[in-house]
Amino acid sequence: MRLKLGQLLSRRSFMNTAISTTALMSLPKMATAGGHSAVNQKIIEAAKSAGTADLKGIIWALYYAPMKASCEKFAAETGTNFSDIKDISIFVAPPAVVAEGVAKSPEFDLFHINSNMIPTLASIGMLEELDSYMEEVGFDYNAVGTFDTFMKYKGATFGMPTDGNVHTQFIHWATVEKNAAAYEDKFGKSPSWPGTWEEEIEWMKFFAPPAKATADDYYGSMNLRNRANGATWWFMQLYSAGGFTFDDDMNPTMDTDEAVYAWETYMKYKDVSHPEAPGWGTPQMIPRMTGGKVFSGQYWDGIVALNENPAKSKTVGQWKYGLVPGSDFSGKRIYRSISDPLGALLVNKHSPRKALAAYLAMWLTTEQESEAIVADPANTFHDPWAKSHMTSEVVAKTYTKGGLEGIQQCLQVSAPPIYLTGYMEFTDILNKNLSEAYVGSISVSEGIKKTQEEFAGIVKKTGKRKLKAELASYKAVMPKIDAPA
Amino acid sequence: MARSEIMLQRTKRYKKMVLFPLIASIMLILGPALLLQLYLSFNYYSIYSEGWWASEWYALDIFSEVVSDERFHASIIRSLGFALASTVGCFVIGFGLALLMYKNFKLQWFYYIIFIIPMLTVPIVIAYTAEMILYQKGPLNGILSAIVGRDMLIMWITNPDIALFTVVLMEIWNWAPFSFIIMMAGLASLPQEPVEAAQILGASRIKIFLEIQLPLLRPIIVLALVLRFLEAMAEFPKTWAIFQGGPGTSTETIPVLIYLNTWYYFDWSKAAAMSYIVMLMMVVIILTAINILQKENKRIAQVQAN
Repeated sequence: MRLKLGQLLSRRSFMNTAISTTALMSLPKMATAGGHSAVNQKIIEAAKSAGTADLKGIIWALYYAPMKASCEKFAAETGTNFSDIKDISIFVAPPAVVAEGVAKSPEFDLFHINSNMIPTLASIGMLEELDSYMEEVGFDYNAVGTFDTFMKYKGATFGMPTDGNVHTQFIHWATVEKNAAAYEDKFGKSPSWPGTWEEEIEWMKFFAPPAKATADDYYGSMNLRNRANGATWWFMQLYSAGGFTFDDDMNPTMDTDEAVYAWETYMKYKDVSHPEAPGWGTPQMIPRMTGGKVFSGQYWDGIVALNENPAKSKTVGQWKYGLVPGSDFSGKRIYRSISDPLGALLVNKHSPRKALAAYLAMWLTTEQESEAIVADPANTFHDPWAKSHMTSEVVAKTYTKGGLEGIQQCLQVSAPPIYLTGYMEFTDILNKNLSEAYVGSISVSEGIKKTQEEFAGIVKKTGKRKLKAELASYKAVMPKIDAPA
Repeated sequence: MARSEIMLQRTKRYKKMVLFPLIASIMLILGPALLLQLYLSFNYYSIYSEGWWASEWYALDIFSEVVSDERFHASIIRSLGFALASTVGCFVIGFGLALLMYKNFKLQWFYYIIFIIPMLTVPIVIAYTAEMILYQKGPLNGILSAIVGRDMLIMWITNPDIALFTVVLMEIWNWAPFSFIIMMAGLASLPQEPVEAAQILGASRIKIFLEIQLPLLRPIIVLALVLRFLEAMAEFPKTWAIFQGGPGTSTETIPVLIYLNTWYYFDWSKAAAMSYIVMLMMVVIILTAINILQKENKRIAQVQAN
């Protein structure tokens, strides 16, 4: 007897099955026991089989605060706690972590630190490779673009990102809207978005005229020019010009045309910056953003959440976020942003509890757990980095949809400052020379010459052969596309 | 054995007993660190090598690198300039306050507390508070503008020609109470008889101060200046918290440069050699100061004997 399809499967039951299947597929991964995704369940099981411990770490309280609930969940599931922390800022953590590494100390299990320190810390031999743990539980970052390469060094994985921390373009759009007609009159086009550094300076000069800046207390540029941070902007300008920091033989390329372009572009911003910019860091600049005293710039994306928080900002809804400016210097338009310092969890190789530390680090980085950490509305120190964060309603509530679009674009073209052993020394030397040139203590050409010589000195001291062997890891972290999709 | 000899021996034994814990702790705690530092100054050590024992013998190369380093020279000049200016500033204000305060008066205790508060404040708090006060449009420029009757827009933090002077001002505010306390103690311990005799003879207050009190206070003054100078040479928290050596390199003093070499560049051998050179420099300064102090004590003893 032949049965018709309709007799086996009524239209209603077909529709019910289809709806249920669709609903199940839309759940984040496969929910399993305890409401955990498959990978989270595997992490729990692996951690349980590795025993229990009270883990100890170096982590800044501001970063730890949004992680706490997730750590408690992990503790409830596995019996392994992470509440014993040495609370120091991510900016001063490197010395403490290096001291632990040199002493081969087993005291700390986890370090929350700038991932650009990975080459230095791996060179000391203090970092545990995480690939085997990741394979064991089937863990994948699912990061935007090639962001996961920031955690790799010489082909091995050494970190779990908790923070995208990418520089994103901020424009005080309320000012653009107010003066759009005047802009059209002058330039014969409506203001859309500054595509290059030169165009951004033009925008700053038009929308926040330097001649009026002091009287209005409203300045064009929010980019930092202090001794501790300035180089971040210089790197964006160098990379977008198609330049790089070293040639294949590890000779510094600080005097190439691209480097000179970066120096000159960096200095051009002086016309549109606050006169006190050479001494200003984030404590000075952030209130100017939330107070609507500055027009445009590239800034850490965590400030998107602050700008859009009515309890902390006077400028909610007044900003637009997007792609950082690029450069046509190389003959084609290249966009490059920077992720630095990039908060990541690294595991101490000398710790007897390293397996548990690795499982906890992965747990905090899973889609399931990282969403709440990134979306924390008060402690916005972990910025979105995973693909799932970009589509998450919870994260969008903190960063806004527009903010997330800008962050996603910039993450796709984000580069490190210098991803080599000696990252801190290279960066400080560049910061020093840029700062000296910016305040006029030396000329730009002297700054370039000094940087070239001092970089060569660092290469010689650290070991040319060693650094040459690291160059591939550095290049692997560089974005592979000129512009975001 | 004569009684006086026995007493002398007992005194010597007592001195040794008192000093022993101090010398022992220096030997046990500082000794190994100083020895390792000396070792690292002659042997190039990289944190990427197996361990400090695997470092390479460099003889005097690291020292000669440091000695010929222009950045190091500049930092020494900055540190000396800073230490001299802040020491003089602290002393003038501290001594001035002590002169106003050393005779009993009503509510003296209240002023005493007020004057020593800056010394009890954590340097990092001073730095961040000062940073807020010292903005171009901050309260200090506001007060100065009101005083002079025109807009004062001094860039205390961002002008490389002023930045180090800004740290000097913070240091004076922080540590003038130290000179104040020492000079208060000095003034209180002065014998009253010469002063009273001069008053009876009709000497003016200024003459009494210049010809009796000031000469008697010289050893105390030298002590206050030396101690403050040594402290000022080591000033780090305020300079680092606000400037990190900038703008440019205008506040890159010796402690900042050694910190950068140790914890930013991880060049521990160079930092060790720098530290040793600075230590030797400070030893020379201390020995000179002790020499001056001893001469002052002898001179006073002679004056009193006459």
